[in-house]
Amino acid sequence: MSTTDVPASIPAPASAATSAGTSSPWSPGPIPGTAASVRRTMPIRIEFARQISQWRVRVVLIIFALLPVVVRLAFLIGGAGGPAAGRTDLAAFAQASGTTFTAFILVITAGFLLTLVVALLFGDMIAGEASRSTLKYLLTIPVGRTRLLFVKVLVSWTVLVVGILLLTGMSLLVGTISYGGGGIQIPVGPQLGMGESLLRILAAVAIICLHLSWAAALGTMFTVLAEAPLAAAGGVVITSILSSILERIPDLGEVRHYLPTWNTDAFREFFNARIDYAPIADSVLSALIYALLSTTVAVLWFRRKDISS
Amino acid sequence: MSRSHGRGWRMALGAVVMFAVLVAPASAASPASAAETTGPSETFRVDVPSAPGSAATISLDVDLYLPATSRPAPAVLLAHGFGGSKRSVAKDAERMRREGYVVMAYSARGFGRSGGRISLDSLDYEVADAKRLVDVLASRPEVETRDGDPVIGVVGASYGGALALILGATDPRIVTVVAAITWNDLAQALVPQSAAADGAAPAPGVFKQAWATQLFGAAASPFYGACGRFTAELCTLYTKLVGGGQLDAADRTLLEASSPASVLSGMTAPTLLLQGRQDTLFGLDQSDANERAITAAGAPVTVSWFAGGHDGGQTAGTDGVVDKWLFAHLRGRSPRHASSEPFSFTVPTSARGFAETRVAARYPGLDGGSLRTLPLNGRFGIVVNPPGGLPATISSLPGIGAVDSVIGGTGGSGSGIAGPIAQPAQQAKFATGSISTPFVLAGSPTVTVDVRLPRFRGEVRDSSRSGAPVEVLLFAQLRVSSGDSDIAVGGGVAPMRVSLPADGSATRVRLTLPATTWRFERGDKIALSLRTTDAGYQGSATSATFVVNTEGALSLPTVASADPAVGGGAPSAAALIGIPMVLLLGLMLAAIAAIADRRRDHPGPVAGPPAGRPDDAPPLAIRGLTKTYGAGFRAVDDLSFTVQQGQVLGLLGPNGAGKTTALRMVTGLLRPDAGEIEIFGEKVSPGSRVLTRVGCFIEGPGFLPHLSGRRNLQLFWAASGRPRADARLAEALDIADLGSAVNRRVGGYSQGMKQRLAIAQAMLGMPELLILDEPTNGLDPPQIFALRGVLRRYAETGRTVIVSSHLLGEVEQTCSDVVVMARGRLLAAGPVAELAGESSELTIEVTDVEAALHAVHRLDGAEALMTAPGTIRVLPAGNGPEAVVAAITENGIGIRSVTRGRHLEETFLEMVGTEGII
Repeated sequence: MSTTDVPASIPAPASAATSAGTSSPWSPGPIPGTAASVRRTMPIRIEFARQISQWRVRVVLIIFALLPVVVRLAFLIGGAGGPAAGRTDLAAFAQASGTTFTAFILVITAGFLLTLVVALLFGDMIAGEASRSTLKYLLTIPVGRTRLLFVKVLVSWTVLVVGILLLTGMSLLVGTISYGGGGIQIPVGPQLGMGESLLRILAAVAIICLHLSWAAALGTMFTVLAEAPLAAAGGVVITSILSSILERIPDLGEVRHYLPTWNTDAFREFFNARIDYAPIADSVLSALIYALLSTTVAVLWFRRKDISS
Repeated sequence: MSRSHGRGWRMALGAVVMFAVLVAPASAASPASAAETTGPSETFRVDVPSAPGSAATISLDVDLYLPATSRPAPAVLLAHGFGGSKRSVAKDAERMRREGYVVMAYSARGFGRSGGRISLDSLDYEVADAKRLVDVLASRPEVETRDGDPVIGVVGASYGGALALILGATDPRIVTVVAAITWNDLAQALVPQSAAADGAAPAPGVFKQAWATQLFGAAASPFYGACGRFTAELCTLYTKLVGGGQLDAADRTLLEASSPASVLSGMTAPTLLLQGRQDTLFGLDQSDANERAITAAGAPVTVSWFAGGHDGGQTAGTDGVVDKWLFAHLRGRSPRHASSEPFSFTVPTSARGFAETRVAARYPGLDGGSLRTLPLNGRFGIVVNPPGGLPATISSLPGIGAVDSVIGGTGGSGSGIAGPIAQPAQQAKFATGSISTPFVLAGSPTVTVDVRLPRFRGEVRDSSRSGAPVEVLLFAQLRVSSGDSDIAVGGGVAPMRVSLPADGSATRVRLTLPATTWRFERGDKIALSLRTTDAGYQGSATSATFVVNTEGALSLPTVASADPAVGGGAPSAAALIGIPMVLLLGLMLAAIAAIADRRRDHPGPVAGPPAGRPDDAPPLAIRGLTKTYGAGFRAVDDLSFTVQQGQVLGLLGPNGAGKTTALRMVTGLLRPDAGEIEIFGEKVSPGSRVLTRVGCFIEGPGFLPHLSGRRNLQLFWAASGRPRADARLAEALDIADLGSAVNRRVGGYSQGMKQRLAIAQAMLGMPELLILDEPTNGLDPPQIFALRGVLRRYAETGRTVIVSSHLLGEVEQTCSDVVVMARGRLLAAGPVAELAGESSELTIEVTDVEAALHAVHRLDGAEALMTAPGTIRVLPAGNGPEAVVAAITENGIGIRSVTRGRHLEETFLEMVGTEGII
């Protein structure tokens, strides 16, 4: 677009700003007193508004909302299957009840999809602003760098948690409509009560989120280090894949237990008849240690970083 | 506890190391590791006496599996199943080696490459051999000892399971026993009797012919004869049973030597009994008898009824349970995951329920924890045993299980493959009504049955008419019909041999059906089916007709399973301590960051004057600013200048002079390597509060492309946290002059429109110091003209503007002051007038320079000098240009050209040097 479609009423400011009556040219007026209180820069709701307006974020939420429907349709196409076919994994029991369906959805998404979403959300935080050249303007407002990172992380977490809750809620809705309202059917185990099932799903979601903190913090670190959001997101995904590959090399022995993805499935304990809290606690501890390390590096680096984009 | 602590620290340390490994992209090399070894570590033969007290020996084929660790480890003696050899347990042996045990696998006598003949786990033969192998293990240095005794466990399934039990009960060196799908009393298992007559001695049982022929008959080989490698005694016994004979006392003694039942009173080792739910060879009653004997002996015992057995799955799926058990009992440590239960049982999939595993705090036996009694309908039925007992009803097939599950037929209906499953005339059926509340059966159902010869008008019609009691066989099976399906509950049938008085009076027997588990749903009907024949058992050749009657009630044991939700493993102490510690550390780091930010925002009394700044502090003062980029390129070199209030300062320099780098440092985006920046008297660091008073536009616009121009500015201002009214958004948008485009998405803007929007953004809130980096790039001349007016009026209010540009004319026409930079250095600074002269200057090309200079000097106050060959510059000082021209031409000097204006370009070129501008 050229400027030809803008009326050549130059100097526009003079004419427009003083359209109140006087014909004197526009002036910014006297300098106001600097006593004006500056509240917290970058309020969380503003960053939330900036993020939620982006299609990237909306698409993530839409995918979360639609995934249960897609899985339901897949079951429709794939037919009954189920325990009659002699299988005893959760997939075989997914159609037992709405809550079992929800548990199944959580199990299939927790491994890769959620890591990918975390990479997308957290990898974009700073690198995305840098690639749009908006970062320098935010920093000269001035929004403190730690503050900016903090708000960004908080908003990304909000989007992520809302997304996972959306996924869970939609799964419950779709599952209950399709398969009725019973509790979780434990494979080769009892069927739980409805109240307990909901509690367990909630606990599983909480543990999934806590465990994702390692990937989220890694994304935070990469988004600060990298200039391109794709590089940051890719870094998280590749690290996750690398860790999963190393996990499968038995020669590594106990070293594997310290890999960040080792305890990814810990939340599945909530879908066993008897919950073993040991792997759950281990997964939380391991994720938090990684998260603390990555976040510390991210903050230290970002506070000192030269912004040249 | 201490172990847990150690684990926690290793976890933390491991995480740090792993972090470094994962982050460093170069470190892809995997650590050197010991290659996974396969196959036995050693293979040798052990000579054992061929018979007790005999000098002759046979040799056993033995494999020893040694774990990778150099430390002594607990040992496992692994016994194979019937028909197998040491090879058939190699997989298990390797798994246990990986778990860190010394494993000895061997071929029992009569199997594989071992010598000798099969004595069916006889105490004097196979068990004696195993004791000899325990001696070998105990002498090995690789085997761990505890208090001087070797730590040895014995594991086996089926044939190996019985050996494990007998060895464990008779050899005090055995620390623990794992016995799967095995027998307690071989006589009872092969010739079972499910009926107990009131007050009478138990009648002889019914030969389990189908299974026995599978085991014995299959041993026949051209090398060893009809009985294969069985001992002669067993060969005789088998031949007798197949021929329809009954067990006598000698036979029973022979089988007792092969039965755990005879020795289990000596068991002291903790024992794990795994028995399959699908097992018509050794049913749950066998493990129940073992459990009772071991418990009576005082040893701890755990029972598991898993989904498997000789009819389906063998011992598949039990590895985890076995490993956990061995870990607990050979290593003396409690298992990490859920503590093992004294009793667990699986319930098969039913019409409406899923298969599940239940646990109970106590093994209740086959009688169950409680009984559910259901009345049976149908008072009596007449059944016929056909001559020769053929055709026989097929209830189950050895190794395959219940035919219902194989053929999928419904009871009574014919099937092309196996013929009629139950001959109607051979069957009497007694059913319960529909079940109102679902329940789970676990154990042996029992029922009382009356059997008698039929009477017609009080007359007994005995087919043989001999007057002697008639012995008949009956096979009982529990069936369940739900909806259209009618299937057997569990796989097995209960055989019974009943003696019927010739006078037609009834014999009352208490019938115990095979133990199994089942979930009965609402609406199911349970039926007791009594038949005269079963293909799995030796039938009676004598034809007979008799009447069966039930006493009226079916007793079904149930087990109160423990609440499955409680229990499970607890988190390790390390994790419980570690999680709050990590959180605390995170909070501490956050607090440190917050304190650092607070220090920056409120520098305190030392760093500057308290509270209010001095009003005379210059808007910008730079001293000795230096910035070197990575490759040693010095972008800004010792730059110093000061900008005063009300100035429009031009930062002039060619491309790459360091203007943008300097401005980035001024706004806290880059960290200077040396030097100081003060804005309004406050030192600038990243995010300094004083930047609130600065508006800037640096190196190109940056907006959220999917939002409108107006929305972008609104969000930008909102991010500053200042009141919306202070933004003066309307005025800023007027300056941007975007018209209606302001409500369209920025992504569709032209470069110039974005540029203007970015300038408007910088002016939001009308900051006291406005920094614009190359603001006229992409603007039309009229827009540039308008911008000049805006900036001039902006500065008139006491605000300050810094404009960088590489265009001379730009700076010359817009700025009051100028700073000239090249190659990162300051070249000159001062008012534009000082550097570039007055705008009234004249540059004249003349034919005679000397004469022209003289002529000009004669004018009042005017000055002149030669700037280039044939060119002079004149400062007219009040004289009009026409007067100057006149003064020159008066003297006959020719004028080639006259230019009026400043000579900044000249000054600039002089300062920068020609190589600075290409």
